[in-house]
Amino acid sequence: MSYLPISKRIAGYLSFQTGLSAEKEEIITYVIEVTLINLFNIINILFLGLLFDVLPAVITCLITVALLRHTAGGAHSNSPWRCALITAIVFLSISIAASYLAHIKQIYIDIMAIVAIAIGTFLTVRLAPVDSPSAPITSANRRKRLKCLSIIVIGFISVVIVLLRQSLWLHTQEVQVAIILSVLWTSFNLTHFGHLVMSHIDRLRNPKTKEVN
Amino acid sequence: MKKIINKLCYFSVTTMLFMASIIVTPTCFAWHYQPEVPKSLRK
Repeated sequence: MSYLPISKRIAGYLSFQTGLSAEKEEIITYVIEVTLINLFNIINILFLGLLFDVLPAVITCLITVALLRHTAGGAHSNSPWRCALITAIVFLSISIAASYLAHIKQIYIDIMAIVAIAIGTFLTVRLAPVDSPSAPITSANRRKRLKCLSIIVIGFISVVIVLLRQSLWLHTQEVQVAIILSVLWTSFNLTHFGHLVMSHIDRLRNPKTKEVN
Repeated sequence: MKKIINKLCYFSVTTMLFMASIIVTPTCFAWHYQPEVPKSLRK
């Protein structure tokens, strides 16, 4: 299993201090790796959002993508650093686009929302959950439960978009557009084309990298 | 001091083993990288 050297070192130290078995040490390494990557990415994204003055959109993007990817899954990169770069570029682009598109008429935002939810629902029903070779879904029951949950999440997001329409908050439209673009991005990641794009990005620095899925 | 460090290590390990069962439930996280899930946690 390939983990970051820092995760391995911390897990090795904890294992040495507590006399863990090799199997449990591997689990600890995985937990440390997930925690470190999540913390790094969250801090990185929030900092960039603050720097570019699009914090509400970045937070919205983060929550929407997290909710959808938690249940529906999607394409992955092979490297944590490339992942951080892709995440930063995509989340920031979505947020900046949202801050610009927030000034268009509400009717166009409504049309965008309907299209995004329709695409999101269609792709979720057809493709979700999309697992990866690093975290395969082996149980049929879990697959079924995750599909149901992803459809519920899409429904929940639709309700939030409708509720936001009634809100008088200053950043309402920006947040609405950020949700719409995040749904489109996550849906795109469910498709074969999304996987191709991600494996293409993986091959930019490493031509020997094989396609994901 | 050594005792405190040892207790802290045991506490961290217990917390992380508990976290592992929660962390492994979602398909993936918000990001585009998924660390390899240990075989014993796959379901």
